[in-house]
Amino acid sequence: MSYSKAASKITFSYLIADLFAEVEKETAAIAKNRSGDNGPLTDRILLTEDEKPFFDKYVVDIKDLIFQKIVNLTFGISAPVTQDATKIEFIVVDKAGYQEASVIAVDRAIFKSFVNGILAQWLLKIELPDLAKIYLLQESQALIDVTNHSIELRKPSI
Amino acid sequence: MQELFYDISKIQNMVQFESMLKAVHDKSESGESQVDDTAINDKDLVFIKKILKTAADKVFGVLEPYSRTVHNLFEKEPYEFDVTYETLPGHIVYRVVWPEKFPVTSAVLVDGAIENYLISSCKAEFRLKKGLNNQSERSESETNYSNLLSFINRRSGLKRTYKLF
Repeated sequence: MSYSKAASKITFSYLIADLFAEVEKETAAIAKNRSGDNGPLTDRILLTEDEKPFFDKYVVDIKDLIFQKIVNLTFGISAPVTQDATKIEFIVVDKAGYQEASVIAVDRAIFKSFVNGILAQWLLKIELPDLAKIYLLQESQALIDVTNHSIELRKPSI
Repeated sequence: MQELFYDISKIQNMVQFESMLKAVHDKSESGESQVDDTAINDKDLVFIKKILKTAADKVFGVLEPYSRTVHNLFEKEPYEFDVTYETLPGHIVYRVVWPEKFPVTSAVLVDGAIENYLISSCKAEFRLKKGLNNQSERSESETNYSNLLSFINRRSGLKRTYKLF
């Protein structure tokens, strides 16, 4: 979770490792408090390296959802979304008509969208729909926050 | 002769800025701003320039009676759209010769009224073209147009030549 500014552009950057660590931490917390007939459900709930292909797929899906929220901020940028093995980046136009807090808020909302979205999909996958619903709601709210906070970034300086 | 000039990109920015302010409060049931549907985005700026031309033409319709001598006396165009004014590119320029009794102070009001009309007219027309309710923008635009007419018709030193009784 970070952003940088250069040449009238703002780049929001997210390390895959950071996203994975955050999701892993959340699933560990969920697993710790849940147990079945044969003890804790750690093996079922915890998202680990061997489940990384699922994680990668969810990341791509949510990346597209986030991009839809900021697409109108990317007018004139040739490659507004990039993804490689280590990170995902969104590049938007820097119109200089915003408060710094708005950039920070958008940055955090994007990060939350990723984490909550991945968790929701994972919990659906392992058949914990009640918990998945909560994270789906949080993902929706985070995506709404991306739109609402990014309005400040859309304003031209006057 | 007086020259009135307006920066097209500044007007576009003002129109876009005001549409964003409105979009902040224009939310769906889920609380998400409808900014993509109702506000003016960067890709719409070309269209804004097109409707700005229409509004600028209408302003010239009001100023035209005061521009008729400009070409002959000063060898300049009375109205130009998207030209370089001195060193400033992308401007709308009006040139007028005010009547003798036109108060100098009213020229400032005319200048402001033209800018306000250009901005409000673009907002109203944009919302109309997008199929959105533009009642308040239309009303604002009509008020600004009315103000422009009122300011242009002001004259000083006019005295009655008859008695009221």
